[in-house]
Amino acid sequence: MDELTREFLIESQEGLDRMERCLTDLEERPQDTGLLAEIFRSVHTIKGTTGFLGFKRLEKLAHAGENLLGLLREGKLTADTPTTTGLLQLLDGLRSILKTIEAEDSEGIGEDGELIAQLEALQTPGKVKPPAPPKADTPEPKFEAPPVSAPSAVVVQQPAPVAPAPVAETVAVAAPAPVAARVASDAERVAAEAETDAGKPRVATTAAAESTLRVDVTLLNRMMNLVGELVLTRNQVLQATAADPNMTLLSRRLDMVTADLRESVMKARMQPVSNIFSKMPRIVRDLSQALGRKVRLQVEGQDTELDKSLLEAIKDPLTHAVRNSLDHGIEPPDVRLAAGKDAEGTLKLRAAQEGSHVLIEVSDDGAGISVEKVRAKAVERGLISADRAASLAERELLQLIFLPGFSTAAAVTNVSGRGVGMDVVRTNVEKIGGKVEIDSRTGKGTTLRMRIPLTLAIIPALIVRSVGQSFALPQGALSELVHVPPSQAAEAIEWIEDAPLYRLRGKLLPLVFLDKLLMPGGEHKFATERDNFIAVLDADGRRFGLVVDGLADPEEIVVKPLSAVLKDIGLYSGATVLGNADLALILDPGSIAQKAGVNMTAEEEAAHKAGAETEADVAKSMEYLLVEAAERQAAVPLADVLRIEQLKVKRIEYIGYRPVLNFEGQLLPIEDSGGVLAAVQGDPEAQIIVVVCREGNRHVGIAVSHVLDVAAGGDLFEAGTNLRTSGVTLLKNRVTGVVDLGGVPPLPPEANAPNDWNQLTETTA
Amino acid sequence: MSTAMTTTAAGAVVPRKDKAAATASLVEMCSVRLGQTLFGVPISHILEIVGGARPQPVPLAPSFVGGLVHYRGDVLTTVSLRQLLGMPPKEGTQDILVLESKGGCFGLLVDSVGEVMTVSSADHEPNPSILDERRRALFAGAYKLKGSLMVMLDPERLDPMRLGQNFAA
Repeated sequence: MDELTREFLIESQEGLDRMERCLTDLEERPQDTGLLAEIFRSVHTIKGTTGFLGFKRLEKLAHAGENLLGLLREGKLTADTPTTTGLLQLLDGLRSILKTIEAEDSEGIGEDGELIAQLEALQTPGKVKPPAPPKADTPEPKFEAPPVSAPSAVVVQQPAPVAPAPVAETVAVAAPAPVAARVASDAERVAAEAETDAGKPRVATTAAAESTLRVDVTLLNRMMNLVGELVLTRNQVLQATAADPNMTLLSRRLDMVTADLRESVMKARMQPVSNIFSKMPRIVRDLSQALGRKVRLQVEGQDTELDKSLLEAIKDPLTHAVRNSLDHGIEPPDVRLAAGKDAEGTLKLRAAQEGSHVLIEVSDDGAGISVEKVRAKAVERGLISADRAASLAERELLQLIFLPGFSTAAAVTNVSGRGVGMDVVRTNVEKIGGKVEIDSRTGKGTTLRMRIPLTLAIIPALIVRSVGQSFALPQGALSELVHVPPSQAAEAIEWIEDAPLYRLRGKLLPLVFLDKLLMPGGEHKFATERDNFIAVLDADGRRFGLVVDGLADPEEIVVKPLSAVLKDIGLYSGATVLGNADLALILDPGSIAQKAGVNMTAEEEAAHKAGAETEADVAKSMEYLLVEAAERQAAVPLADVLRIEQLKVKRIEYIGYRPVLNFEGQLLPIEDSGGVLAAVQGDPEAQIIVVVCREGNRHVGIAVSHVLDVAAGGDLFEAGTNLRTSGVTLLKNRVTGVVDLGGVPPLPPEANAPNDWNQLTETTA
Repeated sequence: MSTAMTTTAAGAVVPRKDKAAATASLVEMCSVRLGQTLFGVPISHILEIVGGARPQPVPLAPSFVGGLVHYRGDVLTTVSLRQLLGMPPKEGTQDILVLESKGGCFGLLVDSVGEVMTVSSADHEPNPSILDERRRALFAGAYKLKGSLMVMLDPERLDPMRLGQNFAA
């Protein structure tokens, strides 16, 4: 294929993408002449260039479309639903010819006569042939609608839709000529507005076109690789020249330029999510017509940027999610009205950046997912045992729809429901290091949430040491690190037969020794001659502790793929080059769990725990740190907890009778309403625990005797008034007082005891 | 099997010309020494020769995997010829031939890389039957040189993917 044709194909595809966006907008604003002009321009450009390149079939089709668009643009016709459908079919026709050209370098020998005839028919108001569905098996009977003068005789099988917005209709609805007439009077009024509206973006597009350049993605990938290489070379140069003062300036400059370059190349790969969001209006329109739904699409956060390859990767999952929402989520209009909802359903697409992730949400206000149906279906399909299903909490049950072979659609429709829906969504998203979650309320709607890392290439990881090598552990799976000093190593490990366990805040955590996993043989035990570290990992709901020999710094690593032979080992998800030019294998926590035989018991346990809480509103719940102070339990909001310090009681000093802790040169007021300090007063060597919390912009410490757990709290409502209570929360099915951090009085500016010292918090369990 | 060469590159080794050589083609081979044996890899399959590498071992990998090396921004899997032939590992650094095969690039770890030799396909003989099965599967015959033999290695047969299927030990 010659360069000219290739250019033409790329340009035409872009033009058609633009046209598609405009067409779906056109349904809502049929009088927007700006939109019409844009569509006209796209088709016109294709027609002009094809004539030049000698693609006759394409030219003929484009010409027919251009004629119709010309009339629309001049206001002689109004873009009603059949016209838009016709134009969308024109778009599909043009696209398929372009695809043939791309594949075969020729137009192929398809026949567009029917489509051209239909486009021509649309040019005559009132003389309308119904638009044929793209793959109709039977040819539509040709008929001519009566002239405009007799609108009553127009063959309309249901009330003519007044607003040509996405409307459910049967295939044979003729273009309602009366609508055209009615709308025409509005045309002039709206036209003026539309003109000014459309004027602005047009200027912007031209400017953008002049200052941008098309770059091949493979070139960008190569640049990314080379920049990675440069970063490593820079690191080595920096190390080698560190001692030479003459080189400092040069190497620092090299350092800066490299960092800038890396950032720029990464930025060059970013694209706004609008690139895939813009495909959705068409899908929503076509599907809602096919399924007889009324749907309004809302899009938010279109400017959010994501790496090009990731954007490609989430296109299919997103389309799937949208299809699912329309097919299973949003109900038909009559059902909605019966349920007291607006006949028109809302489908919302939202993208937002959250730290190093991009959040993409697909939410609808449809029927929601019936948890009971999910439960029944999962048991019926043998995906889960009946006992297990009965014990699962609502939230866990919902996640079952991500299992392969799950589909709740009563009948297999051609939109979705072949049982290859959500598991594909999950697989695709997890493949790129993302996560999927589903939230649903019966009767209220469903929200599917995808968390996608910003770039595929770079992930934050903790570098750990084992068997004398470095390994990278993705931070996403890491929930905490536990340090076991040599002195405690002997008794820290507990056993159930030959399964090593560690007691973490009173709960048993299965242990996996990385060195034993990598080099089978030898016994499981902590080294007594050096420090041991447990990385507590959460992998696919399986929680376990990975014992490593040492920890190095966390690092942003560039993921390099492994050859198939090494991928087959199943423990590594890739490799990376560290800052010191060492290679490190990237560990895959999920596979480690599997290989080490950490099964789902941990998850079941969690499910039981969660089950007790689901009666409360889990979606709105907050997480609390459950502490015990002198036999009573209290809760501290987890978000406020900074650190937990274990120290000897003699380190607590007093200003007047107020206990304070001199912590790294800073004075921390200690809250002791639980009476922990009083209980151990006689023994200066006794250990107490201080939970250091953030309160506004100061820090306060709370003296406790034990830290028990982290749990989600539920709201409590006062009987009768139904008002939300404050200061208490439902934690593990017990009403628990929440420590009032704001109530801890500030330290006096001078060291004299305040007089208003009183009992501040209610910590009755 | 061997790549046809229409012109000989500046070769110090002048191929012997007998009558059969009129139809024979000349191949440039990179000579590789491993223990006592001289091996040859057609240079048309070699992307680069990296000297003095210390590959990073991969725990639990098949025994023929010599480890990973950093190569031009990518992580390259290497095949250890010594391990493959059941020879004891060598102390110190090794040389790596970066080879291209259908499955992508990989490295071949050898003791040391020697000169490039031009050999004639007329001097090629298939694997003798006296070799064990494993060697017969790995070697692609031998070239008869003046006073010695050069065992031909075919990168396709050394591809880690293929080795993984054949010698998953």
